[in-house]
Amino acid sequence: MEATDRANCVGNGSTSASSNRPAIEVRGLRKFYRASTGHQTVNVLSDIDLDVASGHFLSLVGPSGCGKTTLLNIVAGLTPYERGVVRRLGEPVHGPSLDAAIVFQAPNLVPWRTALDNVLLAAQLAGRRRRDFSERAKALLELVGLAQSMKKYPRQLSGGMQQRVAIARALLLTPDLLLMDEPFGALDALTREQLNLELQRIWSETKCTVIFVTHSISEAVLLSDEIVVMSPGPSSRVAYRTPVALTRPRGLELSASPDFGELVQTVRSHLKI
Amino acid sequence: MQHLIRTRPFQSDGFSDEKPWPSRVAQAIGTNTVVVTCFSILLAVAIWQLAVSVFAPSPDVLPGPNLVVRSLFDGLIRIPAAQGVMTQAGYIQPTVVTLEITALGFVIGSLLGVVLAAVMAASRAIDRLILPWITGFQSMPIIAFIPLFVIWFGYGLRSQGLVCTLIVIFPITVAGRSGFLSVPDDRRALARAFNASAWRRLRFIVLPSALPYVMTGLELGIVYSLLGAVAAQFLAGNEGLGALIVTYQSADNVAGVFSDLIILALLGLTMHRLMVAAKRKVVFWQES
Repeated sequence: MEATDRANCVGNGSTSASSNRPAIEVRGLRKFYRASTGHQTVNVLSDIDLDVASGHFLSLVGPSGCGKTTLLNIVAGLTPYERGVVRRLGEPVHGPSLDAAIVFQAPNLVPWRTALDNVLLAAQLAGRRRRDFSERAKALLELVGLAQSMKKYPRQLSGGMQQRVAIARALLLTPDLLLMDEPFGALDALTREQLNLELQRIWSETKCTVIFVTHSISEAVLLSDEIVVMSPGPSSRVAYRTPVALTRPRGLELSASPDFGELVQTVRSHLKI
Repeated sequence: MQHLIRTRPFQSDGFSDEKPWPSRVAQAIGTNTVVVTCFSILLAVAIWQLAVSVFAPSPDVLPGPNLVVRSLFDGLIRIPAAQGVMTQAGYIQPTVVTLEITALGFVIGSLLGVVLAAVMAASRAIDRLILPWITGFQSMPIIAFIPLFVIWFGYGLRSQGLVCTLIVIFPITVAGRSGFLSVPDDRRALARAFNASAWRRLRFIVLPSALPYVMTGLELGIVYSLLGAVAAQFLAGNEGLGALIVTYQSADNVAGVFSDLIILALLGLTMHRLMVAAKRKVVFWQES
């Protein structure tokens, strides 16, 4: 389908599809900071080891304050880290780059631009020419189901629609990695379910590697190839990891199946709050 | 439990035939802003005329509306009469002069203000250095500098223009600086996530985010500039509406003073309204 070809995630120069190397490697990651009072060090993350294979969908689940957002930000290059190795596509992480796109919890659209222009903002911020990407921007907005809303302003769009624009924006520069920080957390349950299905569809068509941070175990089970549970903070570590072997595509009715239920239970049992 | 439920009497939507016609007319009038404004102006003029008729003050102290209207008419329609500049003068030329100085001060002051705000927002060192001066100058009446400017630059356009520029530059700088510094963190993160250079960040994220603040500053600035121009003309001017007030005053032409004030009020109101309309157009994404 032409739209998906144009919207395909994996960039031309990417070798991740063919190499054996995981798309994301984290070894012995530690993140701490010195509290202003005295020499107390506050450990945020200790000894995190994580690999994400290329094209996989990984969920990070954990209680509030367990540092999952911090971990995502470190992989994104937005937050520095103190010890350990973090690599994206084989390259050590020094800062953000265009092959790791981020979707935040808030849609973060600029109110003075239309939906289409918001998607194109990604190209302009990155120093590319707007007209080179306008085809792709339109294709992506069609992919996320907003073909009718391209000329609308954010205030005319619902929360779910705004978040879909944010996803289209993240995909504009054909990133290999998609890092999502509770993207549907601020939405109501019904919209959330719909967007989960949309995300699964978009991901299967664009073939990115995804790290998805969420509070919701069922959401993680529905979407992921692998779930990583983090221990409560401070000083969190990986408490548990499990592959999710349910067949795709997965529908909402899956949540009634016993396999699904077992997985949710297993994950929950390892989630110490 | 019935008595716990209060029901209000049914409220008419204004179109119903249930209300008597006087209150319907009053309601129709009351909802139209233009009509209400005109009505309240007429009411004020009527009260004024009544006060003048009842108390009969000297025309040199409080002229009645008829004298003021005559003075306005004379000033706007008739050219300066042979009787001399002292009692009659056209308003067109002084208005133009006043507008020129106001506009000049406003434009230069705004541009400098925005640039200064950008510089201060970009460098914390410069910010710390300059901010006390900005807030200091903002707290003092700039018009107090007029005598000093007269000494330095003499009477006329240069002093007046300088006063207007200074009056405008400080609030614009403060407003612009607030705007530049209050870009939401999420938006900054967005710019970083897409590897935006400082220039691209400025152009696509920082400037539009600061625009609402700057436009609010401009809305104030235009009126301040007019005030500054008039005040400067009191002390340092031989032309313009402010100078005209002084001329009228020394000729004991109180009706002239009143009519000049009316012109100034209309000018200020119009400029403010224009700025508000411009702001609504430029910062279209904000609900007021």
